[in-house]
Amino acid sequence: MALDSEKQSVYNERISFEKQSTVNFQSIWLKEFKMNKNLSVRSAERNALGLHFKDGFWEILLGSFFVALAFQDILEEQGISILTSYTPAIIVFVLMMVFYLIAKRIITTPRIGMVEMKLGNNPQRLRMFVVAIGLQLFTLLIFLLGINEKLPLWIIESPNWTMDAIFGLILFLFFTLMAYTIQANRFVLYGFLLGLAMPIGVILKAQDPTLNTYPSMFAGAVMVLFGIYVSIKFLRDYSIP
Amino acid sequence: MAEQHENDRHPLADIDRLIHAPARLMIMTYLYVVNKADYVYLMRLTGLTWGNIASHIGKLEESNYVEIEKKFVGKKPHSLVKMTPKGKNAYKNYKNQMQETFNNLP
Repeated sequence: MALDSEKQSVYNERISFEKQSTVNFQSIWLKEFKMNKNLSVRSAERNALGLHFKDGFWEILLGSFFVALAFQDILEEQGISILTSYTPAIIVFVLMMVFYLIAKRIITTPRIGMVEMKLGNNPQRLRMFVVAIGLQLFTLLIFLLGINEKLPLWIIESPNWTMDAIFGLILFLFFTLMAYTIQANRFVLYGFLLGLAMPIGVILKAQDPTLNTYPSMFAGAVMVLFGIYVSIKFLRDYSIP
Repeated sequence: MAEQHENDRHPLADIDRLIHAPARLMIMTYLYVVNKADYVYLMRLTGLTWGNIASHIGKLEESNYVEIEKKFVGKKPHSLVKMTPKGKNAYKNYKNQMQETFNNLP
């Protein structure tokens, strides 16, 4: 019995050695460079794209815009004219855009460097671009069908939040694709919150017209808070070389 | 001792050692994906140190696999690294050789 267990342990050792030494150059190099990433052209592309979103500024910009738009609805509900009610949103968007561009230039670029990418060189980016265009065209189609009252019967007979649910789903799909492409799982949460905000807003509006903006405001606020957290983490992890 | 006939040489014997080094392979892989990148970007992606990056890019530049474009961003000089057509061909050949080798393994 003792001999068998000895042979067994030698056998196990040999198997483990062979497994380690067979086609696995990636893991050897990963171990050597203490990287936790798979080195393939596809993952290289995703890493290169993902680096741009590590600073969190994009979600601060977008989240602020959604919060500002929600305030526009509140102002409109209080009887303020459309032009006047949109002014805060436009001001916020312009200010945040300026902040975004300046922050990218003086905070992000010195820390992560500069890159020029060509669409044709990046199948992942091209795929995302094509899917985004496709989703937008599909959204436009549904919108045009709705205006011309040519929507399918099942949509017309469905509850009034169905169209918003479809648009919300499209938004969720886009953000999920983005999350996969740039390797940032938090974008799935953003897509979920923004996608859900649309139908929930319609349902709440049926009960109280002033409540329809709060789901998108909540989603925008979550994005801003996450963006701030990611920015702080970015500043801590990426010092200027 | 019998001499190894040229046709009997394993494909890996002729592998491009300039690209085969892990650090340069990482650099070439990222340059294959992007159009141009500066030293800091490559440093962040590869996890190599500044000295390492400069040294390896120097070797790649000597063999004309990459070229360095110097320009000014504002008043600061800036260097962008770009893979040359020779470098792209060399990388593709290396990729095909390695894939063929591993595909033939059990």
